[in-house]
Amino acid sequence: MTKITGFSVEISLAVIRQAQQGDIDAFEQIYHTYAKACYSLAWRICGQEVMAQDLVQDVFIKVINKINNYRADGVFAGWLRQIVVRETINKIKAETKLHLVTDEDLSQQECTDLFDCNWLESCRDLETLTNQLSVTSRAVLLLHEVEGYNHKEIAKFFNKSESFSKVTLNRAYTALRQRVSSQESTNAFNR
Amino acid sequence: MHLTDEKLLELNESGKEHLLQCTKCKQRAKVLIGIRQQLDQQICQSSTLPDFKASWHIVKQVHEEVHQQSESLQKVKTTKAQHKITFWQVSTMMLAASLLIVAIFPHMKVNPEIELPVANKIVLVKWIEENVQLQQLFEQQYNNNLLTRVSINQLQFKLASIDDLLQQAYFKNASDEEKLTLWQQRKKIIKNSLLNIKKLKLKNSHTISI
Repeated sequence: MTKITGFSVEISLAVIRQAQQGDIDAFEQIYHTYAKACYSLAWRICGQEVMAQDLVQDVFIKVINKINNYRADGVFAGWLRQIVVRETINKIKAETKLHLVTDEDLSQQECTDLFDCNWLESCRDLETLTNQLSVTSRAVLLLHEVEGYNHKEIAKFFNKSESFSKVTLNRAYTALRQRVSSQESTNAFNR
Repeated sequence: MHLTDEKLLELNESGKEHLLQCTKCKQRAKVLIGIRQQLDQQICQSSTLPDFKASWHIVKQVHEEVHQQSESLQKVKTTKAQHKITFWQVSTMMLAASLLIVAIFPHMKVNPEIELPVANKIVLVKWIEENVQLQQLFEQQYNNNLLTRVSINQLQFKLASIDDLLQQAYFKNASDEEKLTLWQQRKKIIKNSLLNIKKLKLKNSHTISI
């Protein structure tokens, strides 16, 4: 039997209602149910353990103040997930200088060869390689390709245009491919 | 014409249709799915988890502080509301008590043979009516919250003292002049407060227009 983990875990509405009324035990239950999922998501997006750890605290402090805004018209975990993404991106934005893209940049990305072959297949240290990307590129790559957000949603999180998300994603893949190929060359040379 | 990488990364309806017909793009889409799976599986799987219990203590502290703050805020709001109700309950009750005494006064007269001069009676009735009207007017103005808590308390104290004196005057069957003086004082106090509200209103509108 598969154990349900992360944001897939559902918490009862009764517990949420109790937390909304200020019940600390109910809030603790929510915290322990989702803290790990929040950390993992924040860490995936920003790639920094300390920042992700801080973000878990920031997110739950935000939840303390905003929990009464949750109207139970959607899944609580989904609502919480949005807060994690938003807080993480806000932190990234505050700590890094975002690269602005122009239409000219966008037209340069019109290519069709990024996925001709699975260049990632031989990569054994994807973690390190993605950490070598800029924090913005990593965030957009993870949000679009793993977390399933579309360009429109990502643009909204970053308060940028859709072009920003498209170009950043394309650049992230290009940079990742270059790093994989460079890693392969180094490994071949060492052998 | 094959799908660009950008279109492949976020397929729209026409892109999906194209994939059904184009073997090359279908193959590229498969590669992309494989890459996505690898990203999903390999990133964040090896990350060491922090101590969530320590982090919880900080969150708990904030929760307690926020909860205490909201409780205190709620208390202040309730006290304010209660104070407002108490003030009107008291002042309205005092006036009502005075009016009741005025109404039943003819039946309580200790010396029925002493009759009030007609002129004085008319003035007395007129001033009682004016007091009631002024108090109603003041209640409407008071709702605008223009007066400070201190001035409201002062007014409450003054009205309560006069109403007390008025009740005593009627019980003691005091002289007509004494009662008239008290009703006149009461009227003056409410009038002054209304005047203060007017001044504050003018001041406020002047500030807004600036």
